[in-house]
Amino acid sequence: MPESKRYDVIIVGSGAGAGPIAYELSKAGKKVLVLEKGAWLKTEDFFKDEIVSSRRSVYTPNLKDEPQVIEELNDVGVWEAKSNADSGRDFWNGNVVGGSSNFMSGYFHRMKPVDFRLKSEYGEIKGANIVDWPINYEDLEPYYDKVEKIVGVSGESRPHSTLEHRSSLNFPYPPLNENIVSTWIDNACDSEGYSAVRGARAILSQPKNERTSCSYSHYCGSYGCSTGAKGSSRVALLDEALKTGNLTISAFSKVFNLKTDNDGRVSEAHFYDKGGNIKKASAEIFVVAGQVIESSRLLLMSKSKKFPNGLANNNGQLGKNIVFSGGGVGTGELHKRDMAEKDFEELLKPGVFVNRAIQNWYTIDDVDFGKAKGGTVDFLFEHSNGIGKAMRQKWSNDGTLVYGSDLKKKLKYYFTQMRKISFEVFNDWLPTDDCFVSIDSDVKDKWGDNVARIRISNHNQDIRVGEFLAEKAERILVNLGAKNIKSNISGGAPPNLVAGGCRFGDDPKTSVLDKNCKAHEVDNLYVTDASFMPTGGSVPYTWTIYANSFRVADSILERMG
Amino acid sequence: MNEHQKWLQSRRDFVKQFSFLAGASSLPWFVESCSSSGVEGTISTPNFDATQYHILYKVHQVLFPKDQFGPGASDFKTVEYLDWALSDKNIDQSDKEYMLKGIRWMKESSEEEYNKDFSELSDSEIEGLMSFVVKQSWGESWLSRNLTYIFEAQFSDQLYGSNIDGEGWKWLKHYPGYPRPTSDMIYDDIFATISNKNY
Repeated sequence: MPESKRYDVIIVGSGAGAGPIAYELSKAGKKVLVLEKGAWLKTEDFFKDEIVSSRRSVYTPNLKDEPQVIEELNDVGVWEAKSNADSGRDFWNGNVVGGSSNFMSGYFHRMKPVDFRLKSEYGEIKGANIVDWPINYEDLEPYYDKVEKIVGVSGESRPHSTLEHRSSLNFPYPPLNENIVSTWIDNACDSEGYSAVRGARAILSQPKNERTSCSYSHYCGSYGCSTGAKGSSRVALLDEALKTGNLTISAFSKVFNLKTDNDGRVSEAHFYDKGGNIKKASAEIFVVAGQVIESSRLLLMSKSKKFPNGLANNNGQLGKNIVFSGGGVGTGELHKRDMAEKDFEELLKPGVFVNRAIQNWYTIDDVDFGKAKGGTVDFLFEHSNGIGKAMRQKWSNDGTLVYGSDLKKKLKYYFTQMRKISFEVFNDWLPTDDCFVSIDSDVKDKWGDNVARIRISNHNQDIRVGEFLAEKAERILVNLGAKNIKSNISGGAPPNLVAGGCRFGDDPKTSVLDKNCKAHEVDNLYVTDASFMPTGGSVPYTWTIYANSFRVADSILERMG
Repeated sequence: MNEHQKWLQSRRDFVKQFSFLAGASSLPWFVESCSSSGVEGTISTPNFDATQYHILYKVHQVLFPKDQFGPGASDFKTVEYLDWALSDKNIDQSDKEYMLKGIRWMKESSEEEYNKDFSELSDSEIEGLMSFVVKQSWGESWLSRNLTYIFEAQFSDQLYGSNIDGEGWKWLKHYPGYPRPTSDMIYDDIFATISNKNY
């Protein structure tokens, strides 16, 4: 990459928040540079290797090189901070070109209109910093639609009580092939009076350009896609943008500072190259999309005379109000002995999807529970990873270690005589004063820079709602004839579902970004990963990140002319 | 090149050959690349001397025996796999030391419980020792860690050299997914491969 070259736009990061900007601007003739801290792997570089994908840090940094500090309340109510180089609690997500979108499962749900006006709908909640978004669902709807077509989303829109407005009647790609259990869930939902939502996936069921359709490999989430069917930012957007000749991707380029000039505009990105050498690049506009924790960290690190507390942080809001996805998981066992042999054979069929969700309680108005924002329940099979499945069998119900022939008998049964069906509950993780990103004063990364410290705390309401939804979902598993049904709703933070830290809003005193995701205080700085979200909704974030980034791209293009 | 590097290189070379020979040869790879005393379970490897190897070998036989339910730890070369895993330059040193400490604790427990060196224990005495050790918090934790490595050996790709002919998958009718990795993209060769990519 020529160091002296000036770009129209520099994007820090290459995932779902970055891809749409690179795609739209390079297609419009703008010269775009993407600085990605990780490697550049392509579709042909991804294989089904559990050791690489799930057992070692390959697509994420080694925690000894790049630790983060996690701070939580201990058992006696005191904040305790620990480097994850010691604890192993890894909050990194895919650090390669395309970011974590390479490794998503592609569960795609749109946020619903109520998510954009949580405070107006439900009022203040004590201890929570909920606010309305500065845009509404109708502002984002055309971009959700755009994502369906450009990134590629498969599915079927079935009418149900909480279905949001769609400008296109149906999805551009038909649903992926499904397991027999999907029909059973449909029937179970009918019996319980629920609507089974046919879940959309950012996975192609038919070819698109150079991308082939899904090969039903049986290994999707946590794995890079070997066919290009999964709609990662890399394959769906960056590869297309590269065809224009206007996009440059620089891998192994870790940005550590955004320099501002005397007018308070960002003038240069400073980054380490593969050899650890410091490089610079300049542009008219800078877009930060390095995933929530590291985006806040980068801005907090980028101090200057005009911004002594970090870039765009004179109001002290930067890094605040991060949210995760609230909820948890539930499981049940479907046993061969409880069904016809041919049904069990169908149930074990590898690769095909479940793709069912329930959203009847996206908003709750219940006699006993009261009124509250609810959420989504997605059904899925237990992950196919063999090591992961076996590891869950080494403990008995009373918590003692099982080994020897008892363990082998258990494994044999588990792998050949049953299949575990699971559900995931997604509900709002309410933003609070005790969930934020700052810079740790002691722990440094391999480049000698202070690392991010993440304080994590959840609101009790999150658990209450999650348990309500899990109880509804368990009824579906009972109806399926599942045994050993359990659910676990907790305040545990899922590292792959994080948003906030640079919330957008109309008031420069209480938000970091304006409604177009431009920093209130900095004329040429945008943040387009999930950092902008003041509340997270009750669905996985990726579709919303993509859609919003396409919306911001339009705003940047309008300004650049 | 030091001894350890030579051993690793030898293993890599074998693994590369193995990818062509898979299905045609049932020779355990480590026999070619480790020194052997000729007694079952008493070879030495870069991370384990013969005594340590013997203790691990016997422990793994009890944790995951070859029995009427299917193949056992020795079929998956679990001690050799563990040795490879501990040779990882990215492994936390404390994790490596922990595995070695556990071996020492097993040896000490043998002396305390049976007044015998571990090498003198009969198979039933080893089973008895393990049923005692698993009730100790250190023992349960260390044995659990060994099981994790056993599962890794059983389910990892054949290129890692332990799940020979995919027997670990076949036994449980486990579908491993495709495409299977190439030898330059398995752990930890993948780091060099990725680093040299220059798209």
